[in-house]
Amino acid sequence: MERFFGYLVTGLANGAIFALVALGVVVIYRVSRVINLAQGAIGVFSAFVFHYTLMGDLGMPVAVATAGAILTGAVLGAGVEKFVVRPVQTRGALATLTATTGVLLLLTELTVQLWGPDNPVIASVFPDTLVRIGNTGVTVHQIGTAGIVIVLAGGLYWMLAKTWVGVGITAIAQDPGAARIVGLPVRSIVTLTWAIGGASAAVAGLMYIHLNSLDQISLTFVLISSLVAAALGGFNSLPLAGAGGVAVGLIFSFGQGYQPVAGIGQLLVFIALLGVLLVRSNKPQLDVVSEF
Amino acid sequence: MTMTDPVSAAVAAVTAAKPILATRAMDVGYGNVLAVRRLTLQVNPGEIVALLGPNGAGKTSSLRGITGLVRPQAGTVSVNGVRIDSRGPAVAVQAGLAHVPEGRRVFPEMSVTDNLRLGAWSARRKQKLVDSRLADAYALFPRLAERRGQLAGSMSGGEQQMLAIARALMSEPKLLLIDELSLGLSPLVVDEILARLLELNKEGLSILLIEQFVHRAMEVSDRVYVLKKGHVAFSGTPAAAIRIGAVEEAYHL
Repeated sequence: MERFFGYLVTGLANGAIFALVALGVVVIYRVSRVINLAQGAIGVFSAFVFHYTLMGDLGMPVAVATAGAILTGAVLGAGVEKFVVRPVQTRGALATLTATTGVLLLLTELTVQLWGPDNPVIASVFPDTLVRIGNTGVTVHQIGTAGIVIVLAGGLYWMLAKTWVGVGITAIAQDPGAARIVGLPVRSIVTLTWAIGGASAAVAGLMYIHLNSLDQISLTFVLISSLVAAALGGFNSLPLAGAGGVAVGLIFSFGQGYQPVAGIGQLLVFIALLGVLLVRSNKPQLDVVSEF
Repeated sequence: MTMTDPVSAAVAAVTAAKPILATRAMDVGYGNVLAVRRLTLQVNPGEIVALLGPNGAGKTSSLRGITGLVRPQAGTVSVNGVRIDSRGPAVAVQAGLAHVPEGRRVFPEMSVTDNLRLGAWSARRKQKLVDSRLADAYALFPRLAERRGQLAGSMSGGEQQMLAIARALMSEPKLLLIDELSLGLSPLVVDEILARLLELNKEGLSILLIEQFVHRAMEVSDRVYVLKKGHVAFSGTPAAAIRIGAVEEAYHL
């Protein structure tokens, strides 16, 4: 029972992060019909900028550096859309997938070239104080992670439903041609959406690397887990992507916990992905956004 | 005392007024194919102008070129004397054009109210203005008011056409461009919508109309342009078009 609770906490904390990345992937997919494979790499790169540049070289306090990392993620997200995805978008889904894969490889390699292959232990705005619950404990960072993801998901939901930009994002997701006709600044809104996605990736990167000190290859696995979550909703549903992220976190944690064989968590997640793809009929539509 | 010929007085009045919309030698095409060649047309304040012609004559492409959905390959588009060509649809809306597209293109998974609000995008920082336009839209089409919370995609074709028109009006345009008003609608619904449009026209709204029912369009229009294979084959009053058989000529040859 004690072990169960421990795995549950770890699973929920990691699952919340997968959910956050998945939400970013889905929001971007809905407005541009592009699956951003660089989402995880943007998060990792932002976290490394946070650790080595903002806190290390510039000596910023952790809260300021956190804000800086989120801004880095937003700029990277917007930049990928404006300079990498948009120029190739008219050439179809394969071109955009290849382009975002290119960004993934570039950012990963850049991380190694700039800061070496070490797995840094990075700081967190939340302390690692243990809060004891029964015989197990939860760190404040873990609670903070879950809390932040809930706040961000709620904020995203509110923005999409209640703000002008949010309603504009929803309109573009439904019919980009009609959004242009009505006079919405479609290009700016799409770029902004990628910035939001990049910022959420940065938050996820900061939270995840603090919890799991891993090499770059394993970090890309965060994205794969999140893609499983996003696929659950056909890349189109925010609530399903969120729930999927938490589910993947739990599967991973319990699988690894009760069956401590190397790679068992990954295996289970891939089986889950296969199952999701076989069961769900609404595959993502990877057509080019119609220009009308 | 000199007698003024009413016809030349009317002509003088029309030519004195600055056109709301004027295109000069506009080419619109897709890749190497030109759909519209050297289109020169104008709409004067308060006019209803019909754009007629068979399928493929370039009517929809003309509207797309005017609003900037497709960038014209040559020529100019001016609204009240200010050029808007190559500046995109958002600028056209700000200049006072509003486009009711073919197939209505309402946002299906959104409420009627959200659809309407989006039409007032450029006024989004003035909440009161948006609310008062919303009230006007619902007063104009009470059937939309009854369905304000309903998803647009769940409404009938006629209601969706009303919504598309009301959404366009939310930007308070000077000129409404309507592509295929009656397509797929029952005659009764078309009558209802046309009645509303004529009311708006009396209040000063100009209208550029594409309509498959030629006679219907001629009844309500001040002037018509007949397009044929991408160029203007006739322009003038509906009476003149009928007299010389301009429309039949365009449709049958």
